[in-house]
Amino acid sequence: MKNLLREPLVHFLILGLLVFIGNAFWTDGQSSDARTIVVSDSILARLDDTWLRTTGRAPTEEDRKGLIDQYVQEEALAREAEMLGMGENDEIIKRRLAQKMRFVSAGTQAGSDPSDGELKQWFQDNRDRFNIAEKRSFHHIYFSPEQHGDTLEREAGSALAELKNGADWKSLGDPFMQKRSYADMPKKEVIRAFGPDFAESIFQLPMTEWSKPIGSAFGLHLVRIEAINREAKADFDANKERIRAVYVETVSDAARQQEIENIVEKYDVVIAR
Amino acid sequence: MTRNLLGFVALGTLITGCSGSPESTDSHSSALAPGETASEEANPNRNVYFGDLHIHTRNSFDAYIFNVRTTPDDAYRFGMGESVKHPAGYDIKLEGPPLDFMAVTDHAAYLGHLPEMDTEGTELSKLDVAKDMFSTDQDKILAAFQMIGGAIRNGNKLKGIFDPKITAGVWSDTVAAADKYNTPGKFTTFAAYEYTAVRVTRGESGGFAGGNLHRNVVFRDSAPKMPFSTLDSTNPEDLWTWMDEQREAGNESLAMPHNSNVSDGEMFKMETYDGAPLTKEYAEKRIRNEPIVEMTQVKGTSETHPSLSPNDEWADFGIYDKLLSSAVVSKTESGDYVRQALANGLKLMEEIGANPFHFGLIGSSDTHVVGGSFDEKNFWSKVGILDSTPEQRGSIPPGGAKSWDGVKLDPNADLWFSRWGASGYAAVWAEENTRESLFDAMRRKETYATTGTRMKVRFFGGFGFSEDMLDDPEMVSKAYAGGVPMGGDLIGDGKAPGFIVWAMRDAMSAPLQRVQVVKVWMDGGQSKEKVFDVACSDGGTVDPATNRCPDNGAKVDLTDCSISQDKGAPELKTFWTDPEFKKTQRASYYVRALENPVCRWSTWDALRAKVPPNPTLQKTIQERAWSSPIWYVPTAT
Repeated sequence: MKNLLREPLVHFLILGLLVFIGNAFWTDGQSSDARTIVVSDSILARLDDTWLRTTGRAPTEEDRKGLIDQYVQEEALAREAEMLGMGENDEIIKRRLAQKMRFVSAGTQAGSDPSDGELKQWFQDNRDRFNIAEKRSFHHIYFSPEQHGDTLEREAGSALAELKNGADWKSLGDPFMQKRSYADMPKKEVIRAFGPDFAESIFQLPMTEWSKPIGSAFGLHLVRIEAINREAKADFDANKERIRAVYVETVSDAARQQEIENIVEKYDVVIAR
Repeated sequence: MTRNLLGFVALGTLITGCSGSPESTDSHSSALAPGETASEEANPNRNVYFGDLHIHTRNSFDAYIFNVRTTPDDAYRFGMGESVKHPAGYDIKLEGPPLDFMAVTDHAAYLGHLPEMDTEGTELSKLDVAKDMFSTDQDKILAAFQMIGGAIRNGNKLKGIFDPKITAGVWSDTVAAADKYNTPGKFTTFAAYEYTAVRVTRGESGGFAGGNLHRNVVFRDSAPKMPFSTLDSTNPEDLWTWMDEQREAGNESLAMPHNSNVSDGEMFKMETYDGAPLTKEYAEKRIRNEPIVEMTQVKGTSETHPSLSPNDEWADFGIYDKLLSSAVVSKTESGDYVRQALANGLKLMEEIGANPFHFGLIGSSDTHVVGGSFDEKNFWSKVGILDSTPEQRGSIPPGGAKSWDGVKLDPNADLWFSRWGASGYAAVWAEENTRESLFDAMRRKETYATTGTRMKVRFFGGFGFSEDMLDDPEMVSKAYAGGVPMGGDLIGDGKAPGFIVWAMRDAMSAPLQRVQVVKVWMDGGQSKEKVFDVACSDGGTVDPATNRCPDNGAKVDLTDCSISQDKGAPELKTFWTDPEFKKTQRASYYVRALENPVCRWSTWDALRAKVPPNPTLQKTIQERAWSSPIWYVPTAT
């Protein structure tokens, strides 16, 4: 047993068991006449089945009597505990019940199969959600602080002067392990590749002229923007399946939220202070 | 120039949804988000791609019990940058950009059997073991779970439970998901699975405490109808035989061993599975099928151990040496660690004329919640609802306590979860992001492992290399033309080789602290190892007596996990020759590049909870990358 308690599995199982016990205890306690315990055919069958699976044989009359006694005892204690209000402030039971209600409300099928017309209309109204952030394509010339130390800015400055005199950009600067030209980079990818300051700077640059030296996580760069794709508009037909998935999720989220609100609205809420 | 501009314009028209271009009519275009563009031209100088080749979903027997219900589709969506649900209910998402490549690797034995048991109306759901597995009786659940786990370990096809039709069906879905998301030029996905052998080394009572012999099997393109699992044989040598047969039949694959750190001395053992001496045939068969090893992942790093490498100050990284689900310590002295295996490989080369450990390196996550946890700042560990909170992982004191005084450590955390790490990535240098290009790169071992950083590392060796190549704009193409990249062999010609070592930081991780070359060699039948610092940050130079850089003084402020802003290098690049080179000595060299220290995930957890970090854990770590080795092979004289 001590070994068992070390098993990680056991820890979550214990938690699960607590939730289940809490749940069984609460829901069963609410059924039937408060002072009558009915041991129905289906309950008897369940008890027999459990016995069979535990011991590998059918219960004898004697066994069955024990099982029934045990069941009745549990049922009686559970109901008594409920009547004494012992379940009321039990966080686990409360959470479990709320969770069950959420699950029930999540079962709604509303809007799970929109027509193309509905989908298109919804897409028109929610277009912004599918548009693509601005993307930029650029060349850059790299200057390594490890190579140049204190003369780094001077190196970059003189390269810029050379560019103005018609030098080929590919002949300038230090070798860069990544690419010298990037196509269609959204700002978040530029941030990931070069750091946030560099990304902010290059998204301010005009097209087709070499920038002043710009700092990045790697050193200094001269940058030339080659193309700007502003907020591309998403196309309905090309993205229909994705739009449908987002639609279904949005509609069912909203429906679920609405159901929860409807339930909450049935209650007056009094907040102290 | 004009051509480049035209290229950009062409890409621009694609974005606006032009339907006439070849890319958008490609059958894989549906996997692209709107406006995303595919493919670039192949780069003869190769690009580095980052991926994860070790991912479990609900189809793995253990993941399902960890409450994981997400699928291979969810795993690929996670890799493409979308958020997915962790089984504990929160959303998980990559911190960085999308991954370049991925493979879902569910346990092949009893693949998909637990979801089937948990589906009403199926034959399996009617079995007692299924009722027990999903009952509320903890003893029964544990017994049922261990029955399946034991059958996987022992290779038993449990009568009435194991159903090859279920395995075949779920495997076919797994292959189909890999085919569906594979988008050449953009996102590569491979059909793959895990072969989960565990050798009984501590007796039956040891439970899972045995020698971990796990491998992931990744297919280049086409895959067979059924995976070869422990139910076919628990001997990995039989797996290689099967892979050889499949290769003949057109299904090319490679297998990647992982967690040798908990193999109880079995993974790189100097004898066969049956205890016979290693032969040339064994070595060739092994390396043909297992050219790369997954050296770092969530359950620890298997580079080396402080007891094996007492002169390596960085050998204490990612040490996790408790056999799976047990408190038993793995046999660290032999067979568990990669550096030692590299040395033994050289020895075998001299003794039997072949090297079974002539392998390259990668990292991967081994996540069991479909999404790898690579980021120290936001760690969700591995085993679903068992280690989903800081308290479960032992990074904050239990029960809302504000200090560690008098806290008795939770053994689950102390033995396992607290020791795990936010690691790692497989980095591959390939011409383009396609199955063929990436797989071929893995076969030639042009790969490296990282601990979750996307640091870029190049490593070339050649006999004609010189210092002035470093500033040559054509350096990379010249290095390829006149030498070999990581993973290659330098066949001796009497001269000392020169090495080009180049590392570039990840812009969103810490700057570089130093770059090292780890040399493993044979000297008169004895294996030796030595760590050379080869490039230092902050203007430091290597002390030739100690082979160490000076301390660059980079610090971590543990009150907010901020790091020194003025320390470290964005890139380190150097030309290096081995000062102790002897032309008759067989050797292998690999690069280890270290970042400045940052807070470990456990320190971030504690910081967020406003409690002190667990005093038994390392507070900071140095993210790092390890290249595949380059081997120096003396020519017979």
